[in-house]
Amino acid sequence: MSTPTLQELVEQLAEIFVLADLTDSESKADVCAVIDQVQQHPASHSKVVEVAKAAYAELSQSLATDANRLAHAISLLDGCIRVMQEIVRDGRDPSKVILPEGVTNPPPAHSPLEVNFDSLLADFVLPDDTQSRNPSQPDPVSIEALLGQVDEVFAACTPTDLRQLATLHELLLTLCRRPELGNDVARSATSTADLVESLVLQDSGNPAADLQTVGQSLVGINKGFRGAGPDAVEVEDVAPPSQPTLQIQLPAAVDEGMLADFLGRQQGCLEEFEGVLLGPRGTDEEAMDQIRRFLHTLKGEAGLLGLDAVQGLCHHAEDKLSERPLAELREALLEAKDWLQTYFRACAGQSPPPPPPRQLSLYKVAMALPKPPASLVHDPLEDMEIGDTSNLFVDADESLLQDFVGESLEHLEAADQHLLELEHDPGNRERLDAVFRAFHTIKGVSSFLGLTMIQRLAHEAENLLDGLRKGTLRGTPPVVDTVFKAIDALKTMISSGAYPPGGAALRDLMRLIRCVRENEGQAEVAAVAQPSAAREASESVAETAVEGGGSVVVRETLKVDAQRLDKLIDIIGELVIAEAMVSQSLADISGLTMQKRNQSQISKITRELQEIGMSLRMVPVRPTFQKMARIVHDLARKEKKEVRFAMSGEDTELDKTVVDHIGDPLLHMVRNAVDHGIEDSPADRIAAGKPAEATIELKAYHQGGYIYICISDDGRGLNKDAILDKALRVGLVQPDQQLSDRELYMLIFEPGFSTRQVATDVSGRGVGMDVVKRNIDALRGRVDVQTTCGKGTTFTLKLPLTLAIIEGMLVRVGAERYVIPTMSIVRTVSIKPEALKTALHREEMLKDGDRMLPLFRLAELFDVGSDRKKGGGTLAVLVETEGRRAAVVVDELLGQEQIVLKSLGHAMRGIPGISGGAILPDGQVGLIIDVAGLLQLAQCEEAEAELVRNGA
Amino acid sequence: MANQAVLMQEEGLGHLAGKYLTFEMDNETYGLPILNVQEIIGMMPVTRVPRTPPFVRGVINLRGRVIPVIALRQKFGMESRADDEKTCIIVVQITIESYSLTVGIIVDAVSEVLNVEGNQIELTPEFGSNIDMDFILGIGKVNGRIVMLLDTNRILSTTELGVAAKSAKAASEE
Repeated sequence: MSTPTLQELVEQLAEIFVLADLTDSESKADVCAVIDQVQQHPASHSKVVEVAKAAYAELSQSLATDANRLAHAISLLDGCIRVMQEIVRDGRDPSKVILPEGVTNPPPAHSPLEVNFDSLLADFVLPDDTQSRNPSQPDPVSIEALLGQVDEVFAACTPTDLRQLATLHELLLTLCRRPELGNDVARSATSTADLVESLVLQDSGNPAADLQTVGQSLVGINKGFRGAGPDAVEVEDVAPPSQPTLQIQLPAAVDEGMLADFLGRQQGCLEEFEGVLLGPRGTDEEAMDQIRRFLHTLKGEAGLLGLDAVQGLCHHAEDKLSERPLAELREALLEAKDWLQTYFRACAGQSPPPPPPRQLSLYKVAMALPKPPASLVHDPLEDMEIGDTSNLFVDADESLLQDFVGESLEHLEAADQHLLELEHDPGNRERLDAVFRAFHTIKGVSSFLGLTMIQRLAHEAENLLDGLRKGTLRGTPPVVDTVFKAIDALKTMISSGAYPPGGAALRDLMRLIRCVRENEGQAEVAAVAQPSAAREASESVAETAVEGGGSVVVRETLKVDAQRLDKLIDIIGELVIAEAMVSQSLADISGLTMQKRNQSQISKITRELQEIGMSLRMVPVRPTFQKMARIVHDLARKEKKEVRFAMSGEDTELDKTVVDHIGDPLLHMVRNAVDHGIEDSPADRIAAGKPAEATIELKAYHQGGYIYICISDDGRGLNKDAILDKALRVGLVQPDQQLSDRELYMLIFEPGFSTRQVATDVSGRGVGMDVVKRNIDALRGRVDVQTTCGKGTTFTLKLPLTLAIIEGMLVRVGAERYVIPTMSIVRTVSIKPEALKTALHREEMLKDGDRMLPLFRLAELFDVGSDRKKGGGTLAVLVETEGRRAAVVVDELLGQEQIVLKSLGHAMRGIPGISGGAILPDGQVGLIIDVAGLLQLAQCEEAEAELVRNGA
Repeated sequence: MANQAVLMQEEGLGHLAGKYLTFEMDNETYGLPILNVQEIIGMMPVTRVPRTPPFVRGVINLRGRVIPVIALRQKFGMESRADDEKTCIIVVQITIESYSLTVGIIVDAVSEVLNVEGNQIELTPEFGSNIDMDFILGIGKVNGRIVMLLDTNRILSTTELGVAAKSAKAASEE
């Protein structure tokens, strides 16, 4: 591995810095290690080294427990990284780059304007603030940050809170040691520090008054340092002419129309916001929600438009709102609202820009907390706020979100798949990268959308994967499982838009990930800093940025309204019929060679068109199969079985509706295969002379207009005796009944049928196979079982290619033609008059074997003229539905057809015995018989007739 | 209907002015607002649907869509007559409650598209309560001919559709 270039190092630093939790000593060590590398890099410019040194020193000295110091370090580091990026990446002349304050060189002489950028930057909530506003200028940091902290700590101080006072003292001492402060200010700071010290030591006679004095001096210090004058909103003696203002420089990329639209809306929104603020007193929940929504929306929009100051302010306000009651924040929020108003007006060029938001009292409220947040950017896991059922996606942009959800789920699906592959082939770099990329992309987008929890989880998982990439971790089962868990959690969160039940679960998962990373990685964590590893990491980032998809083949797809698609298919159907008619009429005429040739061309095109039309609704079964792969994996792990999952024919295409409906049945069958099918332990398998690793295979293929899906396992096979035994016990089978093997095996599909003694959490309640049967029936499919005891079981699903087409028997009754779905037909019989029996001289019965079946005449039920006389020899179709059988008399069987289902429309719904219409090959409509409805109808008729007779 | 009558009296019948597709049945001329008419197709084999009211002739395949067709003669209580080459189906869009429906109306023959001015339209005369005149918007008198202007949406009104469904449903429930 070659050493990484300086640029790669810097980019890596920037990335890990943004994501690192600096309160976590390990993450800090990571960051420090990279800084160290930058320092020592042969290509480093002296300026870079200098900056890196300063950053390193500050960071290594900061303690996780000292929030202020840490915040300071973070802001400094942020500035430093920016400088490095500018020099290294953007190729700026190092001598022209202005170093952040706190770096050992003397402070550059800057204009008041720049000072204000400092103050903005000092607000660590807005780490990106300066970048968009003035990307070419790095920002001096530390003195302003210090002042800000002093202010914040002071605001939190009470005369009796010694801890806060001590912090304040320390800060002031640091402050007065700053050479750039100027003599006067430094002196003032020193005396203030002394005063605070006396407070700390409880020497003061009147702590409250002294504290007030401290406050006044602080205002003075602030003013003194800024030279040009105060900019604090709440300070009365503002000097407007010299007031430094926030320079509003809109990012170039922002669409003007969008901005104008945004600004236009804000006026109204702000007024409403104010109304809410002033409206109800107390912490009215609703008002609080409204305010939160407003802030959140504004934050999002501002973020989109690059108005970082606004975004930061909103973010801060949101933070405060979640910590403190509304009543305490009302004034500060009003102030913030005024500021926003001025800002927006300034954006529109209607008023001078406002002072930076840093000075708003909202920020002063910041530290007035019993426990200051360790860091707003990097709060540790313990500080995570996870609502149990709270909606993740409150107020986020709808369309962006939809895209995010769709894409993320795809990514996760792919990651799932790659991870499964990885398990068998741990060294596969490409797969690993693909999984990594999935997490990385989700992390990026979710952070953009403000979905913090998703981002964090993705980040944790990414860290873990990174360990794998760098070789500090090995793809051991615990590691892989943890990644699977992360994928699942992300899937749940993203698809449902809510956190998994119990916020703690999420936190635990993150802890688990960390824990796994630490334990599995052992002492190798330190190796993170190895140059090669760093190079790879930065490389991967670049890769992700460039190709995005990587090894995942991205097929371009288009979302089309399903109705349009159906319409298109309808019209193609008509074209086919019309074409057939034309070609028929041409065939009847002799001659016309030219026309006939053209006609054959047209018919070819028509057929092709028809094929394409039918394929439009088809999707491959692959995603469904992949889900099964995952289930097998999880279950096998859980039950401590060794299972290899193989699939074939996953590109076989099925109608989307069918694919949507086979998920559940497959799930149950696959679970059964793992749970029941495969022997309890690898040892049992070896004892049975089979390899320890069991195989479950999922196969899909086309055959004769149907799709077959087979699930086979090489396990125990069905136990015929156990099934029979159970069936006898529950009374499904009579002791004297002779059953074929097939009939016997089909018993497992009976509801509540299970040979298991104890139901596990996986299976054994006898529900699963019932679900399978029902779903497959609903899809007009069939399920079959083949099994060999000791060798394994294969379930075969036979499914129609599409639900839009059914196989039907076309029958004629008088002048009408009807379609009876082949699914419900048992067989057709020719009935001799003597086979017909009557009951009560009215109802007709047909003797079928030893059963008497009710016989209905379609002609009578539907009131159409029949060519056959009642009582004569006749033709009947034996139908079966929901376990009931009946014979339906028809005039003629016209043959079996593939029939395109059509709804009869709103006006014709609910006609008993008719489930819909079908376009017959000659273009006419044939009615499809709903067998269940027909039987019900026939019985009603009888009941009615009975009533009439009784009445008579 | 009272509302509509009031409306008509107040505003005159100007809002009914426009183009009508006229057709003849038993020497009477009827008009359908042209905006409701989707197309006119020749008579084609109609698939009878069991258990529907007699005026519902059945369903046809209109370029891949299955639409119901009603026989206007039966609907208007006229004697049915055999279809001939002039018999045709006027495909109209009707709106019942909130959903729109494509329905075919079988008529003896279509005549022409007639422009009816507001001042040529008169209110429907009262024939007595036993004759349902709901589906007649008004009477147009153009060039000495009398055209009954039909309200497409009311020809196949909710109640009647309901009857169609109910009669069948009642049968199944009894």
